[in-house]
Amino acid sequence: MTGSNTTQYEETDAPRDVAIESSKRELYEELRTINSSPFYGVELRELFMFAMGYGRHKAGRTELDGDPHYLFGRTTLTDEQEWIIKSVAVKGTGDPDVLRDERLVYTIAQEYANSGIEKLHGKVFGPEEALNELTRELKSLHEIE
Amino acid sequence: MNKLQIFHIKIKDYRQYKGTVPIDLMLAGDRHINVIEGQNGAGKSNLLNAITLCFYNEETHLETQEDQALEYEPYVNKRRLEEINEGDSARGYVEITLGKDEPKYIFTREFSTAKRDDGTFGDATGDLRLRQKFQQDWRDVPNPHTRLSEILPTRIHEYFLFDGEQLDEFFNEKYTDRVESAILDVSHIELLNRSLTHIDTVRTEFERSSTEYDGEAIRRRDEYEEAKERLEQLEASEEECERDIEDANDRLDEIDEKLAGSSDPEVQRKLERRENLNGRLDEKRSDLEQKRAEVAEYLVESGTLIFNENALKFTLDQFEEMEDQGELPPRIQGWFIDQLMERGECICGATLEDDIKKQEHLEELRKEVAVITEGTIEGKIEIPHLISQADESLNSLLGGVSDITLIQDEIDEFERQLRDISKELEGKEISEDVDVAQLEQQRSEIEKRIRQLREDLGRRRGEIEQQELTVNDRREAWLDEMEKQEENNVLVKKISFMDDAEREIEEIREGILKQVRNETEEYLNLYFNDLIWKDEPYDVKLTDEYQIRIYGPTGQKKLGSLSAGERQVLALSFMSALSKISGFSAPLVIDTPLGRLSSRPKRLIAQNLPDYLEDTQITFLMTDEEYSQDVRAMLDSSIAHEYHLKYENDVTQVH
Repeated sequence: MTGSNTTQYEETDAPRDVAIESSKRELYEELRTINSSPFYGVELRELFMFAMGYGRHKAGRTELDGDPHYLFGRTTLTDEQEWIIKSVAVKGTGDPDVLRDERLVYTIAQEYANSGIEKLHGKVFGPEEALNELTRELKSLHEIE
Repeated sequence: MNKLQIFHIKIKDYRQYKGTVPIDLMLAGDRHINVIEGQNGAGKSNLLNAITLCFYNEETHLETQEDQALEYEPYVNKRRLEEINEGDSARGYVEITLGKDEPKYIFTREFSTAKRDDGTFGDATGDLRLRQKFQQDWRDVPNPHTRLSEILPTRIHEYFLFDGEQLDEFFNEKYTDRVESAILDVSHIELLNRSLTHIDTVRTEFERSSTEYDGEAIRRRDEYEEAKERLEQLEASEEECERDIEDANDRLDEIDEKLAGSSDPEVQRKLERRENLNGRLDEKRSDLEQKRAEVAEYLVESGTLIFNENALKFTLDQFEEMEDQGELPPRIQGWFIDQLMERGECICGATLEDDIKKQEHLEELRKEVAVITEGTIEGKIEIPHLISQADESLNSLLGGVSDITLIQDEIDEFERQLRDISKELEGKEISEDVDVAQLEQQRSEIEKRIRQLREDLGRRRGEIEQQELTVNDRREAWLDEMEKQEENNVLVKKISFMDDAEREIEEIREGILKQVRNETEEYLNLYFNDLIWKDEPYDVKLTDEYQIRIYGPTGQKKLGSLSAGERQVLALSFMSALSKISGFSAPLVIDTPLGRLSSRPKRLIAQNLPDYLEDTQITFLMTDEEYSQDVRAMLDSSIAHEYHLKYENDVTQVH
């Protein structure tokens, strides 16, 4: 096991809402409301989950800066989505004990999504055909995994 | 019977029905089902139409037909119209008698058809009339629509009086809008909606009254007003754009009509070809839109799973390792600690009451077990499930992306062929009354303009969404500033009260909607699983965004992949759930309820539907094929009346 004996995690409750940087709200909105985006019409929480995964692969964690904007209520996440978030925290810290600190679990998710959404926005509205590119990336990543 | 039933329908000279045709539908004891059977065209759908024409002045079946123009038939029976002279008109009516245990309401609507000199017909309908029984007297009721709204309001009737064959279209493209509007319809929240509108009006008045204050607040207020004004301009511009598109399309129709007047056979062939291509192009565009929506779902799902796949696998490994090393106690230990605490004695024999430290230690341990063990056990079930979904999800995404490419190629090809036709027509020089070349040039110009307008409209809608965010931000900034100045306190409190009131009402509204969604989901699940012919259980979810998700043993079954029969069963389950929870005690009339289904689901519906709605009068309008021996046997013990429609020489007889 990695690092499980080094950090003592404080027991905390998960936040009521999942937050992003206020300045990045537009990135979310554009990705799901501009017709040419492959994420057109998807729910904010689904986009957040994608951005979190994308952030893990493309950028790493970036602390939230400035005013927070509460994107959606945590209770609207499905059990499956919650377990993905928890797993990201376990992998990020290398320690399953992190699950005690539910606040930290969500902070980690928010920080990955924080960098991920920026990268994703750049990808979708960049010069390449985003849907095909993202699909190719997922296919090759899944083959490796 | 506690619910309303239709006692009789009386039809005079309506469509296939000549003369006065009475149909008795009154229940007989527990027998609450009527079957009216007839071949296609015999007048079944027109019985449903007669009911909706009488009540709501509309014909359900034609309203939902794309080719209604081709199906035009005058209201009054054709044989009857042959008996009158050109320039004269003939009248008819539909009369429906309703009540619980005995007839109480008689609704009547007259209609007429005028026979014009040029051989065409013109239809008209009269006002709805209601006679109600008071003691032993039948009296006219002055506002029949008010009474009808109490019995079955206009917006609810489509969940009681509907065409089963068209139900599978309910879950086509943009179905979430239809589901949402259905849920709103049965939620009885009109009063709350009106309150929200009122609050908005009053709050706007308060906000406007703040002009008498000055300083930084007024600057913020101006910025907020400016943003609102910009939003209003954008919305007006959106409406204008929509109107322009509509006008341009009308102009296009006019040109097409003129072009159709050309006698040149080659032009006619090209026009026909274009019409056909345009139809197919529309279908393909709609397929593309639907596919893109599906692929967006696959993309977020597979992206979330695959980008995080290594985290899921790592976490599962950690849990398994912990379990192997005994660091992860099995769930029973939680119970064991509970038992020790209940008994008041530690495993070492110490009495907990005397040894506070030991007691605290056990409590701490119990908490730890609760947090880690129970959560982890749940994770050990969820995570492998998630990992296994990645493959299927990626395959759906790959399939969807390849479908999009194929559809896009077909669209490109249709568009190329349409451009070719247009060029050929523009170069057409024929000496005849219709100037094909000139009309076609105008047509190309208008099409170009429509394309441009559609792009503008898309941009405008994007700007509106952005501007809405700006308005909210500026409003918050203005209110923050107002709060800083004491003299604004009263006004800020008033505005804040309105905001709170709005939030409260919205919460109540959301609470009601959530409850209705949950009840709908519950019945939908029950009905779908009973009616679907597959043996495996399905979990049907209705999400907060009004999406319907079906989970089977192999994971999620996308709506787009359901067969027409499965979609019909889903829609029938949905409609039945809505009529069940709507709170209205109206009778059900379903045209072609089993139309697209094969024999097993037919039997299941015939077997189950009457039980779900055992206290409701149901009238099925069925073809002879639907009303098979099997179905008849299933319904037999519940049937009150059975009629056969026979259509001969433009007239239907009811036997």
